[in-house]
Amino acid sequence: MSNSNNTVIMNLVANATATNACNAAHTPMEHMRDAVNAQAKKGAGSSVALTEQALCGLVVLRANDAKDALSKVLNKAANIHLPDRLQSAENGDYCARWMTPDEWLLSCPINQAFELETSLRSEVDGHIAVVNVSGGFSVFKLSGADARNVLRKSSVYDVNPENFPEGKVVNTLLAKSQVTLRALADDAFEIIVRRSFADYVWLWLQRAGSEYDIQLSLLDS
Amino acid sequence: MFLIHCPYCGEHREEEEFHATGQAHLPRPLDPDSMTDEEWGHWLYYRKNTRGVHREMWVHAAGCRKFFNVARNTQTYEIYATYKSGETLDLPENPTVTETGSILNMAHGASDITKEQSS
Repeated sequence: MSNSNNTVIMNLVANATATNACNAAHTPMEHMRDAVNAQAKKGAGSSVALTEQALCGLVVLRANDAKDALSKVLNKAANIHLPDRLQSAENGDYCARWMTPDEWLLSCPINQAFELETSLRSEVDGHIAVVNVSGGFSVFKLSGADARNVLRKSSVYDVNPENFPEGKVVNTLLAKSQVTLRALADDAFEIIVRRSFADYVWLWLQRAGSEYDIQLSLLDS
Repeated sequence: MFLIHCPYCGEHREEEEFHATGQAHLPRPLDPDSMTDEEWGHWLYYRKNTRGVHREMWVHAAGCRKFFNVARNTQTYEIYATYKSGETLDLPENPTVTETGSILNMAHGASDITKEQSS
């Protein structure tokens, strides 16, 4: 296929994503939505809440020598720099997470993902890789006074506040699944998991949080 | 519980996140065409099965996905040190567990190593 054809198709996909994302796309959790919401607890006794950040735009950035150039362009587009080891950089809906010395995971609004991807690719001078992986992962948010306790019994990582403060990002195991864990605040955490593991991890957290009357909600996607 | 230090993440992590991938420091032959089948076979398949101090390659499979080197003792399971791929490390004759090393049942944090060793 020629380059111009590629561009036409990619633009079509981008337009479709931008205009229809809210009513055409579903998250991997869609099949559980009614069941989850039917048993959602509204009680005041709950000290943990689990929600999905549905249809989040995710872009993988890779660079070695061109790291500074990539960081500069990213700063222009989203006003964040590429974070250092085990750190994240956040600005509104945009957040870059350190994954490995030459890789970062960037989240953004789903309708910005394509634009961001193409602008990074065209504007960075140097050898980089930019891949839109929005469809590949699910993003959960675990919050509440006992959120850290739920993580303590689910993950092999030491999530004590002195070792896992706000803004830190680790790739580790949660319920034997590979996840990207980020501390959003003292009592709120972000869990990014492969979409094929999403309902398994969700059900694990649901069970693990049952002793704290975990509050569940899956929004309409 | 066994913690392993990842030189790329810069901290000790659970053993569960890692995989061992065999003997380290096996340079690829510069001129494979001039090798006999036997020499090639030895490079490809023959590995040391050391009792005692050994160098291995490990990968932080569930973490940063980088390969790195481990200097460890196959009898005591002590890890003397870990260091990045492409680097070399000289060990003394009687090596001790360093900041980037670990021992079985080590508490989180490298500063506990000396404490546990002396007790």
